[in-house]
Amino acid sequence: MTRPRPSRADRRFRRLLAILPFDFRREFGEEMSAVFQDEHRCTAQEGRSAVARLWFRTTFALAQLARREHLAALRSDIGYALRLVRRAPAFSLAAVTSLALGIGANAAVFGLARAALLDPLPIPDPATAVSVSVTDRQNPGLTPLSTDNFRDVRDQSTALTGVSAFRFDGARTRLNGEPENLFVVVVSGSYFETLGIRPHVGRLLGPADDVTTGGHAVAVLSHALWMRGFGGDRAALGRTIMLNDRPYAVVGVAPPEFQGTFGLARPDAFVPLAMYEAIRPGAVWADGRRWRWLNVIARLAPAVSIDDARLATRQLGDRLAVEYPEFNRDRSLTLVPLAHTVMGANQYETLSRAGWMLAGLVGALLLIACTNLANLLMARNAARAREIAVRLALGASRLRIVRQLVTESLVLSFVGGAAGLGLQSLLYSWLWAARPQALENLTVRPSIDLTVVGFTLAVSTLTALLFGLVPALRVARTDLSRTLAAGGRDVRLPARPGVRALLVTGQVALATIALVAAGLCLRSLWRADAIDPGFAHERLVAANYSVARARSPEQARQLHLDLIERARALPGVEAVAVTDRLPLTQGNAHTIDIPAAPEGTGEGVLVPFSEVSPGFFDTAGIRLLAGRDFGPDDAGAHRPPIAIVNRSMAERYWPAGQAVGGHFRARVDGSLVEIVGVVSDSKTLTLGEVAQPAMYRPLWQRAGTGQPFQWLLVSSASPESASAALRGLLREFDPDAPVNNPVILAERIDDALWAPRMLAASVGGFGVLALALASAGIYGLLAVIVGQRAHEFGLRMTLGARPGQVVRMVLRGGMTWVAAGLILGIVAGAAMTRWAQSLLYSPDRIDVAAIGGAAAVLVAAALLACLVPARRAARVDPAVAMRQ
Amino acid sequence: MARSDDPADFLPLTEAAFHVLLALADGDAHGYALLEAVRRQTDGAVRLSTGTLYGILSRLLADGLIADLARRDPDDDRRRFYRLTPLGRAVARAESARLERAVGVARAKAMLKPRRG
Repeated sequence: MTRPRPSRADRRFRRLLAILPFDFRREFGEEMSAVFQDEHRCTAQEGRSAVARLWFRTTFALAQLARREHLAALRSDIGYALRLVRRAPAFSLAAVTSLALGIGANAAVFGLARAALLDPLPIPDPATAVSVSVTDRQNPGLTPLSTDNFRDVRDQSTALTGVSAFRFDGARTRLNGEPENLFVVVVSGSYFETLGIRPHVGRLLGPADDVTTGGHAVAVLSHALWMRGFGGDRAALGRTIMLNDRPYAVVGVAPPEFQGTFGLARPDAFVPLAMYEAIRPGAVWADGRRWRWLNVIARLAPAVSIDDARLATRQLGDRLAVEYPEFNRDRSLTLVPLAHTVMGANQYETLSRAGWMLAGLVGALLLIACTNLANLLMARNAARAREIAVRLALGASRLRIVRQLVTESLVLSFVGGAAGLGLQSLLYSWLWAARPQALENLTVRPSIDLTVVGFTLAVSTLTALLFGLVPALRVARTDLSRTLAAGGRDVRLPARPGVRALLVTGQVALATIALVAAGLCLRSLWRADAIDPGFAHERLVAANYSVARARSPEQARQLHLDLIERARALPGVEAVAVTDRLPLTQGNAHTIDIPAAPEGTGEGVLVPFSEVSPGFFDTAGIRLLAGRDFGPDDAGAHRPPIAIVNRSMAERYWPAGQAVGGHFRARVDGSLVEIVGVVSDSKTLTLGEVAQPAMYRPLWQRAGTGQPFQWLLVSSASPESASAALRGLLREFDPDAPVNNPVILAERIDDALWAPRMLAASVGGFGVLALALASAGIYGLLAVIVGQRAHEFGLRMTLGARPGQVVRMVLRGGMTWVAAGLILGIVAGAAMTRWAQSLLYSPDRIDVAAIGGAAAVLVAAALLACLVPARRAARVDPAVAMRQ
Repeated sequence: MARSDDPADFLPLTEAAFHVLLALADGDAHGYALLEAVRRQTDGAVRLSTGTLYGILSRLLADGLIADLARRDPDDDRRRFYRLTPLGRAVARAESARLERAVGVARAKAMLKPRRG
């Protein structure tokens, strides 16, 4: 055979052909180059421009051809895949459901983790943003900085730049004629610059706005407040907004995505730190080194790692402790990534633990789903071995067949992925709708964003490739003659049953872990429901209100006492009291020294305290165990400092029982405080906490007048009508006062259980899914094996085996793998229990009931899954089986 | 997909495909000869490019309107010869009849000059 030597044009043409699908090139490529060679030779005689035209025409036509052929191949592959899906609806439903559940759960958890933990701040370069906090040798947890310590860090730190401070506070205003409480953030001059926020309209606050105390009445509005109060009008710039009876010039609007750096509250406005005295008159804590009240943020200095910066900050904190021992003794400084403080600096550890637990569970779920898909694909490709062998024999290329099988897996996984995304969005809207009132202002909102979609697609594609391609390659290597000679019946499974048994063992282990987790969460929830909060919450109503007309603590005390009397006279009202904090919310704490405490326990103890009016304990249903309640005369700055402690505090520091009449010294002002009473324990911060020391001080003994107070009210009428009556009274007393909707305490208890309830529901749901998927896997495996060994079972029964023996044989085989998986799962589940303990309302280190329950449920489901194929094995007709 | 053997199912043909079938009506031909034949029989009005031609050939082959022959060009073994199948011939006839009917209508509406003689 002869063939002209390839010319340069020829080589160039061949390179062009590479854009055609492989099959087309194999079929026509050589021929096409021959034709082009002829064409080129003839055209060359007509000159260069003719050749150029030829190249242009040829390239254009080839591109069109390539597009059409690729599309046609894809269409035929997808059509083929869809036909297969239609032909095996049960298989397809099983595969798609497995994937949808696995992928949907992963996308949901990934989206949540991203929103709350991984990437919660819409600021540039979040990795270099840090939060500086005070650590205390005696007490765990992170606390804010005092004004002077903040200034020292700002001026002396070399590892940090842009050190800024902020503080959340409330202020009253009138919007569209209605009095309202606004969430105001006071920020130091470099706050916005440090965060890298750009104004939406106008300008943001800068260092020039934070120079003279009380001299910068300017405000930046949040985007939401700008829309709500000013209709999104640019003319808002230059207008003023009243904050606690003082006008502030609106200079700018923050971008809509920026909602401060704290995820639990949406700020309405930002004002300079220099204006704090105007927002909160008489706030003694705003100056000096005594009161720790400022949240401090900063950026890492260029080329400084967070570990180096943390070390340098700690050294600075140690230096400040030596320099100012009166205030900084036993304390130092540390820093954490700013992103970790979004859901509360001290909550990060718990939340990330919960996040990891959920991630581990949905990861396990996805693994189970993938093993199911792998099992299904392997079983099916084995069943199709003959079909594939025939197509190979008829000349189909192996590449083409592999591509078809992969397309088929891709179609399945994309459908699964799409269904998973749908599931995720359902899950989100359900979670969101069920969130408690306390989280109404959550700035962190899980949504379906591009990253989550990308992640989902990546997971589903990877699954398809891994579990579609491996079996596909194996099938494409099928030995043609043997398969065809065997009539496609005697072909061994592509993967030996050993591998698939291992897969089932793994599935059972994973499902056991998921079930143990579900059991733990459910038991934890039951326990939480039974927790006694220590106060009578059923009929308690609370409203946030403070008398702003007061100009001094004494005047405030008088006005409040008057108002309490009037509230008592409301119809149906049984008791009224005022406090600075509601149970189960964050509040203040004192660091105190207790001279009489047992050796080494009374030094520098941090004790949370509430300031309460006379009658608070009666109103809240907290029992007085010894001593007396506060009286109307105890309040006032000139009165001797007194406190009432709870039972835990009395027992820990005065074990001999002489707490009443005892003393402690408050480090914050050096005052010696006398204890006048002991009351029963109640939950302070969370329902799950173990009883801890806490104390109460009389209201108005400390300075600070504009502080918002919580009014507590017990009424024989319904909580709703009591709250309406209270609202009416406050309105009448002070028409300018914004009164937020009163809180019904029973609902707050319910809210406090929201997180554990959601955790239990999702983990429980995941556990049930894992069980269902694993059972399907066990069933699928045994069904295939029973099908393969029908011949053997028939033979056995011919030789005299009874059906019961066959059933037992199959069960034994299946349950051996289940038992192996179960043991693995129990060991891992027990380890997880200990690790997850801090998340749960659980006193035990290993929850035997949860593990035992999980094992029992799993064994029952596995037995059922084995029994169905086992009974089928026993029904094999020996005559039929032998004939096959 | 089941292959159809009713010529009407393939109509209408694209102009290029129709001319390829017509070119093969004269006898077996290889790729380059087809390019040339189409150009000649349309006075250069239809100029196929290699890519276009093989897109058409692959479809005609798949539809069974043409067949490739085992015979190769002795000068260049890459050149395959194609032949019109009976189905292909029937389709070409059906397409010709369809066009003739259309031309008849056009003539009745005086869209064409009347035929001389």
